[in-house]
Amino acid sequence: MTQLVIISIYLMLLLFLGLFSSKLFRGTSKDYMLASHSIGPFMLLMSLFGTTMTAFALVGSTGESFKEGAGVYGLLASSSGIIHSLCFFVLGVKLWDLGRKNGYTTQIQYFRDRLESDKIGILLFPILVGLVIPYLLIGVMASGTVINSITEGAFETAFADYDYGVPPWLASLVICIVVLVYVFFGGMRGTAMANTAQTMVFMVLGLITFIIISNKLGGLEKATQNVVDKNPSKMMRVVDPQDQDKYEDSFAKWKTLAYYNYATRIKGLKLTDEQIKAGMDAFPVAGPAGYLKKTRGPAVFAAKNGLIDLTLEEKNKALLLQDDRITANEAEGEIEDLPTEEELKNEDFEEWHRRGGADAVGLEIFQAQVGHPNDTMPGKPELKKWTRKKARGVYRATSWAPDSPRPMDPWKFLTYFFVPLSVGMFPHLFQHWLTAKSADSFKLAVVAHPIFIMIVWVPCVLLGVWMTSADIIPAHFPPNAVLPAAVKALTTPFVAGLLSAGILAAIMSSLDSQFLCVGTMFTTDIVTHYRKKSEFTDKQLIVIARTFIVAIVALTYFFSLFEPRRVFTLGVWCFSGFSSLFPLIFASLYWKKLTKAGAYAAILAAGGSWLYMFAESNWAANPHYTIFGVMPVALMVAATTVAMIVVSLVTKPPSDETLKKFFK
Amino acid sequence: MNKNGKFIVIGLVILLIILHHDVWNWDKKEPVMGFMPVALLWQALISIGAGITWYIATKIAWPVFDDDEVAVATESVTDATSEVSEGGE
Repeated sequence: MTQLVIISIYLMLLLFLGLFSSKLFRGTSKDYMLASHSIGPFMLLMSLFGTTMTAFALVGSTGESFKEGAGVYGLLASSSGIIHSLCFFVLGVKLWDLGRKNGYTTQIQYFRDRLESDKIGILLFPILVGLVIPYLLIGVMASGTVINSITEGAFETAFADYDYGVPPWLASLVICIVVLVYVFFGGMRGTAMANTAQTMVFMVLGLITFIIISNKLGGLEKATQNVVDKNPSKMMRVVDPQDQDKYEDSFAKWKTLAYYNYATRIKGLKLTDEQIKAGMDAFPVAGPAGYLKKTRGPAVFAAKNGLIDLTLEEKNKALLLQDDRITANEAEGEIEDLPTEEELKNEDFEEWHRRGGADAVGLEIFQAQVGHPNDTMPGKPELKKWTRKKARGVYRATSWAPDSPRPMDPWKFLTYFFVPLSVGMFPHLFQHWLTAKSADSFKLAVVAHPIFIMIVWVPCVLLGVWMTSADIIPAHFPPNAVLPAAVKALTTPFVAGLLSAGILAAIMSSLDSQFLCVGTMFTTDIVTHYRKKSEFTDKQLIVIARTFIVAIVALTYFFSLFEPRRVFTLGVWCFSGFSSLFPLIFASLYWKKLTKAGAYAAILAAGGSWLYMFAESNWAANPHYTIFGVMPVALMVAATTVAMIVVSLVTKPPSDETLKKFFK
Repeated sequence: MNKNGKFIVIGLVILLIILHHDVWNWDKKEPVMGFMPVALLWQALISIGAGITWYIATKIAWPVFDDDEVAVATESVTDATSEVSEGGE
């Protein structure tokens, strides 16, 4: 309950800040959308940084390094330090200058003018808003996960299905409403103020979390040494032989279990009570609630005594069934694309999408253990009841195939460099750039951004790596919940509440800018563009912007109710979409020969390639998707660039008047 | 803006990109200072290098805009006027 109270107080403080900033509101739509170009260096730095660092930076980086190891920092953090500032420098400052001279508020206004095309806005608007939605989704989804994890057991009887904590759907809804309220009251000024405050909150609280958790783990050196001893591959970007041996051993044991379960469930094998008892007695490890002894003991007994007799096809079906990639009914029929020459390997399983909620079986199996997390087990006062999450987690860890250790591919690592280019095309950053008081306001943001990224990401990545070996978080644990789970397990309720507020601060400091931006785009690029601005009062425009924001937030919230994806994976797909449009914005500023047709070709190539590859990755369900061994974003950027250059070179160049306006 | 500033900054950025692709650290397991994975430390240093590069960029390659030029011109005129006034006294 303490955590819930602290989070509630924090949210109320934010609402108060929104109300306070509304006192400074000048009542014009320009002030609402661009804070009347009055944002100085410090606030610009904090709002640009807070906007860029979302759930992706805290929740995503910790979860991803838990899965993939310390190399995650190099994938996105250090490259972002170079590329983000590069974008502020080569695009931001120039766009700010053009924006203040020509009175732009949105990217689309700029593109319409620069490309001498009105209809380009109609093409770009749905693409940009469509790409902002998954970005919003990351924040909305993560806020639900964080609040639910951290408030487990807060209620005595309510929300039993959500481990007596705030349900993720309710938590996400509250966060959306709070952000909407302070964005509505304060506009861009309120957003920039809230961003500044929240960025400081999450940076300070993030460092405090790191210090507390490292102390709890026995200090920095001990925490890292644990990883070196138990999971050395997480320290580097190749697979350590020790991890490979450990994996092969556990995978072989898991296969025995899969064959046995298939033989008993599908082929009718039945061990006698004596055989089952003998198997269980001979199995050395009991596991949680004695589950390993019950399941693996008889399997090992049957395998050792030659009682399992399966064909290659049956063995492959057994593996897919055990990993919940197919159902028992499907296992009895024909399975498409099943290899006939060799056994499936772990990495082949991704071809069969695991159905959502497959781990709910854990709730049935461990029904007796599940209850209120503050209650004790009957007859065992030293043991607490399990949460539903734990029941599902134990099922996943004991039933699904062990994760195979993966090296980091150097080509994949190299082509990740294209992902941070997205910053150049984020519509909300464009809007933030235009709030700057002067070009010099950008200097602090350009210089400090890489350092700030380091301050936030290094502790998160270290924490994720440590969690692989701290015996707190089991295998197959949802990556999005690693950070809140670590915070809850290793700190006091009071500190956990404060730290959760810090995580939420990071999430909300991105949501607010995005909310404001989609509203601005709708009023500026659609409403006042196609109807005379004089038909509307400033107040009416603000109401229209707010209505559109609510519609987009409602749509995002609706998507968040479906099966969650890895925050990191979803983030990378969203950023890749924006990155694929980077060549367009860059060429528009530095290449006189860019034509209207070239821009259309670029947008279509970007949208088409993004959509095709996103669908191929099973809508981000496959976190390891690459194409020709490189990140999809590299091919998207290449496709956009080629289409733009080729078409521009063979079509009519822009008028001299336009070139004079945009090039000195 | 320094005449060569742009090229110095481009050179530094290319250097950072090359150093970022640290395949020579790929298989280093032992932590530095007892706790820091090499894969993380090297890349954190790249972040610091990026901060320094961008600091240099703001000093030697920062673009000048019309208004800045106007501001500089106004300041020069003001300075010149003051000097004349001081001389006149």
